[in-house]
Amino acid sequence: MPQPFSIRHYFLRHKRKSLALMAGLILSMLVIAFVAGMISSVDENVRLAQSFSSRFSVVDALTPEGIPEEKVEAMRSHPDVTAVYPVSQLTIQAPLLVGTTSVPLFTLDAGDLAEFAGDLNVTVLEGRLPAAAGEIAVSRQMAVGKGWQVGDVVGSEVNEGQSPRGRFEMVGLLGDDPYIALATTYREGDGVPGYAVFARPDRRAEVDAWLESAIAVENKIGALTKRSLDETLQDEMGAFSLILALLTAIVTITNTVVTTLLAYIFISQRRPEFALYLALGQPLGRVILRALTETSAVLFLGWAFGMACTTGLFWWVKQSFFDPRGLAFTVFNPTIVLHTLPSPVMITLVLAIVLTLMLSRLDYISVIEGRN
Amino acid sequence: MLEAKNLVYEYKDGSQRLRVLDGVSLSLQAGKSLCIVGPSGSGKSTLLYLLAGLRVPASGSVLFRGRPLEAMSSKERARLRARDFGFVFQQHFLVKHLTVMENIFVSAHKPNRDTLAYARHLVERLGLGGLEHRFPAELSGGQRQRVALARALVNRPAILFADEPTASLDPDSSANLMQLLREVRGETALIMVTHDTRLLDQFDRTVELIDGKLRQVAKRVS
Repeated sequence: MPQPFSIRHYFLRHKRKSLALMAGLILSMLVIAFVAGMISSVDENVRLAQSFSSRFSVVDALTPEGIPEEKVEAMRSHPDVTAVYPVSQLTIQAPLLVGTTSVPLFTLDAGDLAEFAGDLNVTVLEGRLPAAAGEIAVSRQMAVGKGWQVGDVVGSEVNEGQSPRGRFEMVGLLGDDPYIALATTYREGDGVPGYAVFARPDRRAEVDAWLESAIAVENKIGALTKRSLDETLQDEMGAFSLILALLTAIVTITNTVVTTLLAYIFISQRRPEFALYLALGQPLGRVILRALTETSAVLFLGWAFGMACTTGLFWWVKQSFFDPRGLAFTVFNPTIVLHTLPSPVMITLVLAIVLTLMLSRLDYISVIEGRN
Repeated sequence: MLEAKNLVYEYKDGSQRLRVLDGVSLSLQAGKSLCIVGPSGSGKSTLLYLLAGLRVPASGSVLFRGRPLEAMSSKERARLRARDFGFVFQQHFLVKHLTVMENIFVSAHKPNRDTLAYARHLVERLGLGGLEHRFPAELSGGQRQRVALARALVNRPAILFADEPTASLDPDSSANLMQLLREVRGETALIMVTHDTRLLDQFDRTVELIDGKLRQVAKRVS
């Protein structure tokens, strides 16, 4: 059966026009995807660097007085708290693709570390857990990023630019968590210890709320909980998100305008064809819907192809740049879909309005007579 | 079947209103043919478009099977054109990206097996056999007009409206098209606008449009 209104026919018989529309969309998608993907990767790696917060909270002394014994006792005796470990928190600068991010290094008494690692379900991939003073074990991802190997002495890069600095020997590579770093206390009496607080998973939120309200004291004792860390990261990433939103908006709007104009030009060139359909008695709505379906099918096909290209490009970027540096990078990022899908949707909506106005005002007889 | 009563049609030319048709009346019986002749710019095409419900008169009425077209909504008139009328325009107006068969099916009201069989019959009768999958650019002027004729007839319309379909054809192609038109239109009534006075003998009746008014042209006795 002949199918004069087949979308496939339209696409195949208007290859240049269809490819021009698709190319415009794919190009802009790649720009949006690249910006969104890179910024998302920064966000992803910065969040991962603080991922300890999903397992435990940290209560830190902010003054030399430390944390009063009764507060420590209150934490230990809380019915929903499963473990409390004295920890010191140092930092390691882990590289991102551009710049670095701070990753906490938790140092514990050698006697506590094995049990602490057990609570964290840490897997040792190579070597062993720190056991003696001044030993460190980090995740494989961090080791790759820093270029560290088991047996290296890495003290000079710990707590860079801050005090105390120490001397650590790499004794193990850890799995599971891409940004975990554990060490045994390297010098007795250095720093004011804080406490790592583990809670029952189903009561975590309540315990965190209790730590923030009952244990934390303004300017004296800080509670680093999942909620407070998320809030801090949200603030820090706010600028990135704003840049992302602005760039995406500019590219999306520019692309929508250019592609809509291109689609409008192509549709305008088909006025005699639409005039014929209307003169032959085809309903206006059907003619509009058909023209819109043909164009939007090409646009959404372009979008799908753009997504495929983006995924391919991201896979290559991950393999070539992120994996060798031990960085996390999501190849199929839903954010990209959210940032690129509005473009074909917007163009389709604008075209629906333009087509309706154009065809409902079309004097098809004048077009057929060649007077218009 | 089709009757026009006192049709008046005017259009604006700058600040002036020009009366193209001034009280035109005519009628057409089922299966009969009518030719409308007249000088260029006399309003022949406008009259054809009024009769076909493509334009609405300033006053007067066009009745198809007793129903006034001007009283119908634009949707009803569109439905009428799709089901009961066929059109051949001065230019073939084939869709460039569609094949011969797809162009014929553009106007198919019910694109089913019967329609397909009839379309194939028309293609054969109009000498287009073997060209079904060609595109308009691959056809001669005469072949394009024959495809346009097949498109107009594929729904077996009650009336075929033809607006100078031979205008862009050479005399041989023109004669050939008229011959084919006579052969394939069957029970379909025909209203055709033409300049070509050599074709008048092929119609049951001929009217001439001069200064907005119709004049009956006597049939020549050969």
